[in-house]
Amino acid sequence: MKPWKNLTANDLYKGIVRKLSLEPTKSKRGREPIYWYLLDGKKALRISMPNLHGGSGSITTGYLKQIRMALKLKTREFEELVDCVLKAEGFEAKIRDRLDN
Amino acid sequence: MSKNRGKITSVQQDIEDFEVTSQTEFPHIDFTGEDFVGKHAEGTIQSEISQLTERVETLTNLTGQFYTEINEQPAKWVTQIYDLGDESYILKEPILILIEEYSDDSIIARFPEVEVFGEGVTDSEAISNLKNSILDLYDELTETDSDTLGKLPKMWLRILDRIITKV
Repeated sequence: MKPWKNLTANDLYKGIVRKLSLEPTKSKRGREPIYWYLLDGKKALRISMPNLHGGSGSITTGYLKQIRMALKLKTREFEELVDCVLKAEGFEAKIRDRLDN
Repeated sequence: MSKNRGKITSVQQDIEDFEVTSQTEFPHIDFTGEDFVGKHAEGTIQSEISQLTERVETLTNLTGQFYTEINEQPAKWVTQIYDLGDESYILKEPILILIEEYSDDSIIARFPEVEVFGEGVTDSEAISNLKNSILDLYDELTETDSDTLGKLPKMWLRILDRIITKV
Protein backbone atom coordinates (compact mmCIF):
# COMPACT_ATOMS: atom_id res chain seq x y z
CA MET A 1 0.00 0.00 0.00
CA LYS A 2 1.31 3.44 -0.92
CA PRO A 3 1.99 5.61 2.16
CA TRP A 4 -0.44 8.48 2.18
CA LYS A 5 2.30 11.07 2.18
CA ASN A 6 3.42 9.89 -1.28
CA LEU A 7 0.01 10.12 -2.94
CA THR A 8 -0.23 12.15 -6.13
CA ALA A 9 -3.11 14.06 -7.73
CA ASN A 10 -3.50 11.18 -10.22
CA ASP A 11 -3.84 8.67 -7.35
CA LEU A 12 -6.54 10.80 -5.77
CA TYR A 13 -8.56 11.22 -8.97
CA LYS A 14 -8.48 7.50 -9.63
CA GLY A 15 -9.01 6.38 -6.05
CA ILE A 16 -11.49 9.00 -4.92
CA VAL A 17 -13.13 11.14 -7.62
CA ARG A 18 -13.82 8.32 -10.07
CA LYS A 19 -14.44 5.58 -7.56
CA LEU A 20 -16.91 7.58 -5.47
CA SER A 21 -18.48 9.24 -8.54
CA LEU A 22 -17.95 12.68 -7.04
CA GLU A 23 -19.92 15.47 -8.62
CA PRO A 24 -17.91 18.54 -9.67
CA THR A 25 -19.06 21.98 -8.69
CA LYS A 26 -17.92 25.43 -9.75
CA SER A 27 -15.47 27.38 -7.69
CA LYS A 28 -15.66 31.12 -8.47
CA ARG A 29 -12.53 32.23 -6.69
CA GLY A 30 -10.49 29.17 -5.85
CA ARG A 31 -7.99 27.55 -8.19
CA GLU A 32 -8.67 24.01 -7.07
CA PRO A 33 -11.67 21.96 -8.24
CA ILE A 34 -14.37 21.19 -5.69
CA TYR A 35 -16.49 18.03 -5.62
CA TRP A 36 -19.56 16.81 -3.76
CA TYR A 37 -20.16 13.33 -2.48
CA LEU A 38 -23.86 12.58 -2.86
CA LEU A 39 -25.75 10.41 -0.44
CA ASP A 40 -29.37 9.56 -1.25
CA GLY A 41 -29.24 12.23 -3.94
CA LYS A 42 -28.24 14.96 -1.48
CA LYS A 43 -24.96 16.79 -1.17
CA ALA A 44 -23.30 15.23 1.83
CA LEU A 45 -19.54 15.93 1.75
CA ARG A 46 -17.62 18.69 0.01
CA ILE A 47 -14.09 17.87 -1.08
CA SER A 48 -11.48 20.26 -2.40
CA MET A 49 -9.01 18.46 -4.67
CA PRO A 50 -5.59 19.51 -5.94
CA ASN A 51 -5.28 20.54 -9.55
CA LEU A 52 -4.63 17.67 -11.94
CA HIS A 53 -1.86 19.81 -13.41
CA GLY A 54 0.03 18.66 -10.32
CA GLY A 55 -0.14 15.21 -11.96
CA SER A 56 2.46 12.94 -10.54
CA GLY A 57 3.86 15.43 -8.03
CA SER A 58 3.29 14.75 -4.35
CA ILE A 59 0.62 16.68 -2.52
CA THR A 60 1.49 18.51 0.67
CA THR A 61 0.83 16.81 4.00
CA GLY A 62 -1.56 19.55 5.07
CA TYR A 63 -3.64 19.36 1.89
CA LEU A 64 -3.91 15.57 2.08
CA LYS A 65 -5.05 15.85 5.68
CA GLN A 66 -7.84 18.24 4.66
CA ILE A 67 -9.05 15.82 1.97
CA ARG A 68 -8.98 12.95 4.46
CA MET A 69 -10.94 14.95 7.02
CA ALA A 70 -13.49 16.06 4.42
CA LEU A 71 -14.06 12.38 3.63
CA LYS A 72 -14.44 11.60 7.39
CA LEU A 73 -11.75 8.94 7.22
CA LYS A 74 -8.90 7.88 9.45
CA THR A 75 -5.42 7.76 7.89
CA ARG A 76 -5.50 4.00 7.37
CA GLU A 77 -8.99 4.12 5.83
CA PHE A 78 -7.91 6.94 3.53
CA GLU A 79 -4.97 4.88 2.28
CA GLU A 80 -7.29 1.91 1.75
CA LEU A 81 -9.75 4.04 -0.22
CA VAL A 82 -7.07 5.38 -2.56
CA ASP A 83 -5.51 1.93 -2.84
CA CYS A 84 -8.87 0.34 -3.83
CA VAL A 85 -9.03 -1.89 -0.72
CA LEU A 86 -11.96 0.18 0.51
CA LYS A 87 -14.68 0.06 -2.15
CA ALA A 88 -17.39 2.65 -2.82
CA GLU A 89 -19.97 0.53 -0.96
CA GLY A 90 -17.75 0.23 2.09
CA PHE A 91 -17.12 3.97 2.05
CA GLU A 92 -20.85 4.68 1.84
CA ALA A 93 -21.52 2.45 4.87
CA LYS A 94 -18.88 4.30 6.89
CA ILE A 95 -20.25 7.71 5.90
CA ARG A 96 -23.83 6.75 6.75
CA ASP A 97 -22.63 5.63 10.16
CA ARG A 98 -20.47 8.72 10.76
CA LEU A 99 -23.02 11.26 9.60
CA ASP A 100 -25.69 9.68 11.77
CA ASN A 101 -23.55 9.94 14.89
CA MET B 1 -0.54 19.40 22.01
CA SER B 2 -2.53 16.88 24.03
CA LYS B 3 -2.92 14.77 20.87
CA ASN B 4 0.86 14.80 20.42
CA ARG B 5 1.34 13.95 24.05
CA GLY B 6 -1.02 10.98 23.66
CA LYS B 7 0.98 9.65 20.69
CA ILE B 8 4.28 10.22 22.46
CA THR B 9 2.97 8.41 25.54
CA SER B 10 1.74 5.55 23.34
CA VAL B 11 5.13 5.12 21.64
CA GLN B 12 6.96 5.49 24.96
CA GLN B 13 4.73 2.75 26.36
CA ASP B 14 5.61 0.52 23.38
CA ILE B 15 9.29 1.10 24.04
CA GLU B 16 8.86 0.38 27.77
CA ASP B 17 6.92 -2.80 26.95
CA PHE B 18 9.73 -3.79 24.65
CA GLU B 19 12.30 -3.25 27.39
CA VAL B 20 10.26 -5.16 29.99
CA THR B 21 9.62 -8.03 27.57
CA SER B 22 13.26 -8.12 26.61
CA GLN B 23 14.33 -8.34 30.23
CA THR B 24 11.78 -10.98 31.14
CA GLU B 25 11.90 -13.18 28.06
CA PHE B 26 15.62 -13.39 27.47
CA PRO B 27 17.57 -15.07 30.27
CA HIS B 28 21.10 -13.90 30.90
CA ILE B 29 23.61 -16.03 29.01
CA ASP B 30 27.10 -16.34 30.43
CA PHE B 31 29.09 -16.46 27.20
CA THR B 32 32.33 -16.97 29.18
CA GLY B 33 31.14 -20.03 31.13
CA GLU B 34 32.95 -23.29 30.50
CA ASP B 35 29.78 -25.28 29.85
CA PHE B 36 28.28 -22.59 27.62
CA VAL B 37 28.73 -24.52 24.39
CA GLY B 38 27.38 -27.67 25.96
CA LYS B 39 24.21 -26.02 27.21
CA HIS B 40 23.54 -23.98 24.14
CA ALA B 41 23.75 -25.84 20.94
CA GLU B 42 24.47 -23.78 17.86
CA GLY B 43 20.85 -23.90 16.71
CA THR B 44 19.59 -22.46 19.99
CA ILE B 45 22.07 -19.60 19.88
CA GLN B 46 21.10 -18.81 16.30
CA SER B 47 17.45 -18.81 17.30
CA GLU B 48 18.11 -16.44 20.20
CA ILE B 49 20.15 -14.13 17.99
CA SER B 50 17.38 -14.15 15.45
CA GLN B 51 14.80 -13.26 18.12
CA LEU B 52 17.03 -10.48 19.42
CA THR B 53 17.51 -9.16 15.89
CA GLU B 54 13.76 -9.17 15.39
CA ARG B 55 13.26 -7.21 18.60
CA VAL B 56 15.91 -4.67 17.67
CA GLU B 57 14.15 -4.22 14.30
CA THR B 58 10.85 -3.69 16.11
CA LEU B 59 12.42 -1.06 18.33
CA THR B 60 14.01 0.64 15.32
CA ASN B 61 10.62 0.73 13.58
CA LEU B 62 8.93 2.14 16.66
CA THR B 63 11.57 4.83 16.97
CA GLY B 64 11.16 5.68 13.26
CA GLN B 65 7.39 5.82 13.63
CA PHE B 66 7.77 8.06 16.66
CA TYR B 67 10.10 10.39 14.73
CA THR B 68 7.72 10.52 11.73
CA GLU B 69 4.68 11.23 13.88
CA ILE B 70 6.43 14.03 15.72
CA ASN B 71 7.60 15.54 12.43
CA GLU B 72 4.15 15.33 10.85
CA GLN B 73 2.46 17.20 13.66
CA PRO B 74 1.92 20.76 12.50
CA ALA B 75 2.63 23.81 14.60
CA LYS B 76 -0.82 25.29 15.29
CA TRP B 77 -2.11 28.64 16.37
CA VAL B 78 -5.38 30.50 16.34
CA THR B 79 -6.00 33.94 14.92
CA GLN B 80 -8.96 36.15 14.09
CA ILE B 81 -10.14 37.47 10.75
CA TYR B 82 -12.23 40.62 10.48
CA ASP B 83 -12.88 40.82 6.76
CA LEU B 84 -13.47 38.43 3.86
CA GLY B 85 -11.49 40.38 1.29
CA ASP B 86 -14.52 41.26 -0.86
CA GLU B 87 -16.45 44.52 -0.44
CA SER B 88 -19.67 42.81 -1.44
CA TYR B 89 -19.67 40.73 1.73
CA ILE B 90 -19.60 41.86 5.35
CA LEU B 91 -18.36 39.71 8.14
CA LYS B 92 -20.79 40.51 10.96
CA GLU B 93 -18.32 39.52 13.64
CA PRO B 94 -14.65 38.46 13.67
CA ILE B 95 -14.17 34.73 13.41
CA LEU B 96 -11.50 32.51 14.88
CA ILE B 97 -9.51 30.45 12.42
CA LEU B 98 -6.82 27.83 12.88
CA ILE B 99 -3.41 28.05 11.20
CA GLU B 100 -1.32 24.89 10.77
CA GLU B 101 2.30 24.93 9.62
CA TYR B 102 3.61 21.55 8.42
CA SER B 103 7.17 20.28 8.24
CA ASP B 104 7.05 20.35 4.40
CA ASP B 105 6.62 24.15 4.67
CA SER B 106 2.97 24.14 3.62
CA ILE B 107 0.58 26.26 5.65
CA ILE B 108 -3.11 25.56 6.03
CA ALA B 109 -5.61 28.12 7.33
CA ARG B 110 -8.96 26.61 8.20
CA PHE B 111 -12.35 27.36 9.60
CA PRO B 112 -13.16 23.94 11.07
CA GLU B 113 -16.83 24.57 11.82
CA VAL B 114 -17.70 24.75 8.13
CA GLU B 115 -14.86 22.50 6.94
CA VAL B 116 -13.16 24.96 4.58
CA PHE B 117 -9.48 25.71 4.26
CA GLY B 118 -6.91 27.63 2.26
CA GLU B 119 -3.34 26.62 1.55
CA GLY B 120 -0.29 28.77 1.04
CA VAL B 121 3.43 29.06 1.50
CA THR B 122 2.88 31.93 3.92
CA ASP B 123 0.18 32.38 6.52
CA SER B 124 -1.19 35.48 4.75
CA GLU B 125 -1.53 33.55 1.48
CA ALA B 126 -3.26 30.68 3.29
CA ILE B 127 -5.64 33.11 5.03
CA SER B 128 -6.41 34.86 1.73
CA ASN B 129 -7.21 31.50 0.11
CA LEU B 130 -9.35 30.55 3.12
CA LYS B 131 -11.40 33.72 2.67
CA ASN B 132 -12.00 32.79 -0.97
CA SER B 133 -13.03 29.29 0.11
CA ILE B 134 -15.49 30.67 2.68
CA LEU B 135 -17.08 32.95 0.08
CA ASP B 136 -17.22 30.16 -2.52
CA LEU B 137 -18.96 27.91 -0.02
CA TYR B 138 -21.37 30.67 1.05
CA ASP B 139 -22.28 31.53 -2.54
CA GLU B 140 -22.74 27.93 -3.50
CA LEU B 141 -24.91 27.05 -0.52
CA THR B 142 -27.11 30.14 -0.83
CA GLU B 143 -27.62 29.45 -4.54
CA THR B 144 -28.49 25.78 -4.02
CA ASP B 145 -31.98 24.42 -3.45
CA SER B 146 -31.96 23.51 0.24
CA ASP B 147 -33.80 20.25 -0.52
CA THR B 148 -30.65 18.98 -2.24
CA LEU B 149 -28.44 19.71 0.76
CA GLY B 150 -27.57 17.04 3.28
CA LYS B 151 -27.31 17.49 7.03
CA LEU B 152 -23.77 18.91 7.09
CA PRO B 153 -24.12 21.49 4.30
CA LYS B 154 -27.39 22.71 5.86
CA MET B 155 -25.54 23.24 9.13
CA TRP B 156 -22.71 25.09 7.32
CA LEU B 157 -25.27 27.39 5.69
CA ARG B 158 -26.88 28.20 9.05
CA ILE B 159 -23.46 29.12 10.46
CA LEU B 160 -22.43 31.21 7.46
CA ASP B 161 -25.80 33.02 7.44
CA ARG B 162 -25.11 34.09 11.00
CA ILE B 163 -21.71 35.62 10.23
CA ILE B 164 -21.94 36.87 6.62
CA THR B 165 -24.13 39.48 4.96
CA LYS B 166 -24.11 40.09 1.24
CA VAL B 167 -24.48 43.80 0.39
